[in-house]
Amino acid sequence: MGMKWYVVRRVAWAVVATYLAVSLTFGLLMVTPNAGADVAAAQAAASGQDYDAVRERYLERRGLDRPVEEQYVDYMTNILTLDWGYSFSQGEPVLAAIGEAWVYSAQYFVPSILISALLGYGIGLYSALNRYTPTDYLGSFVAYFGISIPNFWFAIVLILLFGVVFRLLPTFYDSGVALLSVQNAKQLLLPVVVLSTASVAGQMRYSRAQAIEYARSAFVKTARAKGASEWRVLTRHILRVALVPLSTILIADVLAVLFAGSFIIETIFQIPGLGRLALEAIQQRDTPLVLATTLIPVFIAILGNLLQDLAYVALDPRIDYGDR
Amino acid sequence: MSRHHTTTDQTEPLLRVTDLRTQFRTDDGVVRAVDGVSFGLNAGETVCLVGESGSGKTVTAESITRLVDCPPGEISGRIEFRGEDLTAASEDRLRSLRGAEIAHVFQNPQDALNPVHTVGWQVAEVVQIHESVSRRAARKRAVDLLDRVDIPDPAATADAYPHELSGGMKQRVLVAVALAGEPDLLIADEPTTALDVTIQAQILDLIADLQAEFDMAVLFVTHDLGVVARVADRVVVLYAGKVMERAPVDRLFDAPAHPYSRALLACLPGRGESNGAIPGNLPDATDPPPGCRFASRCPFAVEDCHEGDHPPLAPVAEDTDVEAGATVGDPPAGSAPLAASSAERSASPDAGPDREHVAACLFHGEDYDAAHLDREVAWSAAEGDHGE
Amino acid sequence: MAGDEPAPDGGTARGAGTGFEGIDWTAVDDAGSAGPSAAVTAEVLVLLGLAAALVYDYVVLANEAPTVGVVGWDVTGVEWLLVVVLVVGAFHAALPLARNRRLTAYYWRQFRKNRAAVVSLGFLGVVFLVGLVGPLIWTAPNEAIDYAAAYQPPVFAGGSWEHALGTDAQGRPIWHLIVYGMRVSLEVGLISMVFAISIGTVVGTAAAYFGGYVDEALMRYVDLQQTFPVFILLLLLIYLYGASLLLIIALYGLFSWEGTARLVRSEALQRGEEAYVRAAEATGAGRWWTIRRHLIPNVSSTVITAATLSIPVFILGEASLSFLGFGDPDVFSWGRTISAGRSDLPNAPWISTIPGLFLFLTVLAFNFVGDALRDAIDPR
Repeated sequence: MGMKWYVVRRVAWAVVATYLAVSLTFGLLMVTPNAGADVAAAQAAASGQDYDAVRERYLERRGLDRPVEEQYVDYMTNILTLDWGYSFSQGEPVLAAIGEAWVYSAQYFVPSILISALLGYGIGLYSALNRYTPTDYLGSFVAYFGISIPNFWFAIVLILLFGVVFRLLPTFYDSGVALLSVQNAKQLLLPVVVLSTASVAGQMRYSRAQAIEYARSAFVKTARAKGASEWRVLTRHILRVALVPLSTILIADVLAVLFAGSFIIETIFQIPGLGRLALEAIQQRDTPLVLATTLIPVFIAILGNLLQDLAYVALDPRIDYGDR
Repeated sequence: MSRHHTTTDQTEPLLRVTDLRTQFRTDDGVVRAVDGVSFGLNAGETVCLVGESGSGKTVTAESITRLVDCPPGEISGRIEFRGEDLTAASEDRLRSLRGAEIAHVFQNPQDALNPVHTVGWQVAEVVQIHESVSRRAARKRAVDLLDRVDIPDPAATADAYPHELSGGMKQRVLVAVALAGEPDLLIADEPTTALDVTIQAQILDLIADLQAEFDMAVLFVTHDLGVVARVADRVVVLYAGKVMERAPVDRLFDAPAHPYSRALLACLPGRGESNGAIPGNLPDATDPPPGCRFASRCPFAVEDCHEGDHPPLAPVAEDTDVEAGATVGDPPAGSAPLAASSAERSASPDAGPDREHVAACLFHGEDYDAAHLDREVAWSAAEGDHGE
Repeated sequence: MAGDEPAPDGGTARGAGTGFEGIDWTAVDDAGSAGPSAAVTAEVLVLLGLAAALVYDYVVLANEAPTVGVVGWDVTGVEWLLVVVLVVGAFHAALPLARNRRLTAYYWRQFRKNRAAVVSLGFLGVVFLVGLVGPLIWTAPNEAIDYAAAYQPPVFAGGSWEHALGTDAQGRPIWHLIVYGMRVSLEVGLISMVFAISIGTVVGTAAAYFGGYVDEALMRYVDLQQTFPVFILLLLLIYLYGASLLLIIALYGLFSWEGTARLVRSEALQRGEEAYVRAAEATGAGRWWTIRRHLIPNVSSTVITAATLSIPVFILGEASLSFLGFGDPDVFSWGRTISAGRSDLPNAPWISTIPGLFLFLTVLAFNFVGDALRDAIDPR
């Protein structure tokens, strides 16, 4: 009963958050000068036409001279009906451009999430249970390294080492390579390593701290007093309880780190994914595409947060449904 | 210290701890939490470890099955369980003993159960660890055990999570967890301290019932002499990691030998003039001062008490408790003869291992007269004001 | 009860920490009586002086004229902010530390246990000084363009001592780029931190103290802000408004306080239950008085740690933006220098790698210091 109500509330909150995010982008567009119109007018002026007249015609043709509330309703309807407009910089509908780009992003993004979670938690828990050992110190060192190294610089250094000096790996991504091939794996290796380093380090630090807290707790002592093996204590007791707080950081933190990283990765390795699409859109002042590439990560983040809240229901019997 | 070995021709005790030392390395130095503790425990018997916070009683109890974090904890000495030295046992061997032969019940039931598993699962876990039984069979055993510890509607409660139960119920669950392996030794560490008074009595009764039913020995750790009087056969008084006195429970209450034991008893409501606390603090565990650990707080302390090692355990003269019910400070009818040798004393008919009464105090040694301890002393005068 | 036995590790330290947490800092603050009001007056006077100078700079002086004539320093908008932040920092961090010698000495003893953090603190001290004073000593990179001296390798790779760290494609000494980058990092890190921490602390304490609908509304907003990926919001806003260092700093400050707010809220909720807050309320102290004089000072350990650890995040964020080409085109951010050196990677790797190393070390040092501070102030 309480649980159903909780789930309903969380879903409702996700809807509200989505609505607010979309409205926010609309609001931002309204209060700033229209970039597309400026581009069109500037082009027209260059070819001898009147700047202001062209600008006005541009706005009129797109219905941008109408009252704000009308435009708002239109805008929201378009977003809702997936009519996201036409990207002039790509020469195709926005959704088509995104449909082509996401495959490339997913190729390194999904492995990075998996590596962040598995490796991060794994090393974190291991060093928590083996505190003050050389492995633990090495782990801490790697964690500091990971959260501190600027990923763009790290990428450059790795390219310099493995691409230029040792010539082991390609220095940039070739989209002509077959998806399931050794060559593709090789060219994805550096992007995945660079992208996941920071989040692996973050997960390590966090899971280590959590596990240390629980490793000292009374219920773990009870489990040991039962004669449980270290493995059982770790998996059935420490990890199972630590999953609750860890699940919160996985979504919020990992997504944030990876989104920011994806722009950099795609720029450096020249991967034609969503990040590059977004950057190109911004550079060419292609407003519909800028909006789409902004909203998609926001939707993913909202969806991720919703999944995380629902995971809570499954993971933590203590959850107080009234309080969240 | 090894004098009590003179009477080992008896049957081997279930547990014998000899010169146990547990120390922790910290930034501030080596903390000697347990510093040469010896005691024995027979099958079916209840022995209480008594002392203030920081006396080393919990570390002693947790050192037996090496539950203390190790490292940084370092355990030495001998811990013989049915003749097997546990300090030398492998981690695997200890694991097979924990829960099956030696079970624990801890102080605070609020934190001692895993919050994300049902209580039935947590009881059944013990069965599954130590026996190869099906999940169903383990669960059935768990429900039976929950029933045995008087949990109402055990089948439904087995599916409940710890946060859905009261503190008393949780402690019952933990007793069920401890019983699940049908152990011969139950180590109960302040199992009632965190509970309401009425619930405390219920849990103590439950443990006593089960002890009789399963013929378990119980090592009971507590700071509460009221609990000691209720459950103990014999008592080990600990202070600052050292044994101060070992005595049958009646002897401890009727004729406490060590000034520290007397101070503890004086803190009981209705006895002595102290109002609930012994003045002063425990000595520094990293760098204890020379001499008797209790000397700085002891109103009887003489110069010798502050020198050399902690005094060895010496037999307490038998006739000090002639006058049953003597209160602290009352002079006993006949003081111990100054030159009575230890051999003489242990030869007395009542001095078997179960009636052993020893105290680590110079005045019970050969060079002093224990009667000195019977002079009138106002405890509160020992050290200024005590405002706890 | 729980502390029955000495804790296996650091038992004594924890004991000291608990006692420490229990102190009501208001009492400590006021110990030197008469002092605080003088300090507040001095602070207000200095800030007013700054405001006057700012007005003078913008209204009286011509736009191109340097503000501080002697050294030829034309103070820009962001630099004014940095000066304000430094003044505020001096009065609210350095002064109280200097006043409470005993406390400072205690912190220092705890902090000193961590060798890496002490070394890091030294490094950061150098970065701070060079970033502050360096631009007055070494010429701006753009005035040092010298195509004849382009692509000179650093001295350890066969270069000359004249340009010890080498030069870039336009012959600008790498060292100058690093010095000016330090200034940028300093500005981004410190100013954004002050913004974010102030907002976070105020929101967190207010949510905890008022509870009810205020709490609900504030925390819902925090939820929303946490969901929205800041980096993408920044890109969108920079797209709409154009890049400037001030905008980047302001955006980081305005949109990254949610973590601090949450931390402070939960800390303040615990503290609010403690005796001294109850006592203050019982004596009839007003709400804001209680918040300002009792709650905020006592969540300071949480805040200080959060502040230190947020600085490297901001520095990295700004460098990433600049690397992508969304930085302020008028300042020499490390990210920008690293980006510019990418095309010369095979033949002149030092252009990208040396400034990157400085960025890496600065961020690393902040992380070390932040963690050591947490251990020193808040041992748990």
